[in-house]
Amino acid sequence: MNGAQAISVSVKAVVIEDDRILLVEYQYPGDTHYNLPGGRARYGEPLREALVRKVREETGAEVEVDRLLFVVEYVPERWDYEFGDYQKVQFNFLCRMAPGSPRPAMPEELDDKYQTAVSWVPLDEMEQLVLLPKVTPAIKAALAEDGRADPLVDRW
Amino acid sequence: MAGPGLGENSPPSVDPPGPGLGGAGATGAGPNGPSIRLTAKAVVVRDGALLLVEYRCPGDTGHFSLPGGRTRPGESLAEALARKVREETCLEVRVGPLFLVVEYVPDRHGQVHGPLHRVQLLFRCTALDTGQEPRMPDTHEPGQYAVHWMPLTELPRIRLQPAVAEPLCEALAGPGGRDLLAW
Repeated sequence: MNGAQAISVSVKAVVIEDDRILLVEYQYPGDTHYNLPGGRARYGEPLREALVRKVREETGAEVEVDRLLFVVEYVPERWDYEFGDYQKVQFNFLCRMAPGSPRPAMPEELDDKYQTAVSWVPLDEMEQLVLLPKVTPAIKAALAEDGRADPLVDRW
Repeated sequence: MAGPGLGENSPPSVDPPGPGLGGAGATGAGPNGPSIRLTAKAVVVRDGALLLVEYRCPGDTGHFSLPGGRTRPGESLAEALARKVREETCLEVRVGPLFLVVEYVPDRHGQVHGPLHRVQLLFRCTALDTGQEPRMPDTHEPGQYAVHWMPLTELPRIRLQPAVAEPLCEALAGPGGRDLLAW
């Protein structure tokens, strides 16, 4: 192992429909923020499949996963542990609603009791809310980039 | 643990820092089972040649890999990568943009490349002008055999693991593009 440490891997969805983005709202005492839908990828589960599962669990929606848009790294020591003790790498994929998908809604069984809403937010209103991690500029930059090949290769 | 934050619903699986995990160490087993094995890899190109590390193990025909490896606690991917390139090739590099990600899911590939679920992050890197040419380090992994500048035109003919010659060369021939690593 030579001192190497495990990194928690999560996958997140940038689901766009009619110039709106699908976000999950969380309300803690004194704090309201939003996340892209998604969550921790399971060992042995391809990242894309993990993402489909997590979006379904959090929003009830079925999505199709398009290309990898960007990657976010969290090193706790760099952030004074603001977002937890675990080192994380988050893979953010462009997604679209699958044909015939149920409309996104709050799940009947909440995995996280602080989840308070599932919302379509107009892209031009994103700057007015707290999206964590703060990836609004990364999302906009990635969406502005047309026709890039998928940078995720799943051959070995 | 901070409460609100990045929206992880369950505590992630992590290893305690340092060795000593016994049997679980092989896959990095944590409280929620093993973690996907993330590694940072360096793509250093000079004069049309790619920096590669050659491995020869008993009972194996040998293979080539990009230099790189895993993070230590507190280390960013870029820092880990610069350190691993130095350890494996004695070359000092500046780590540039993340441009390619390679995933290996053992059960989807008949486990031909082993039982670990791996994700590699490939960064463009530039050799610093220190006058130091890449070479075999004095101490190295048991299977490490040599360090090469491999002409890009040779990539289709060598056993590169993972077999990313095609997407790698396509990406290198392209306009470069945005750094995929954000935040």
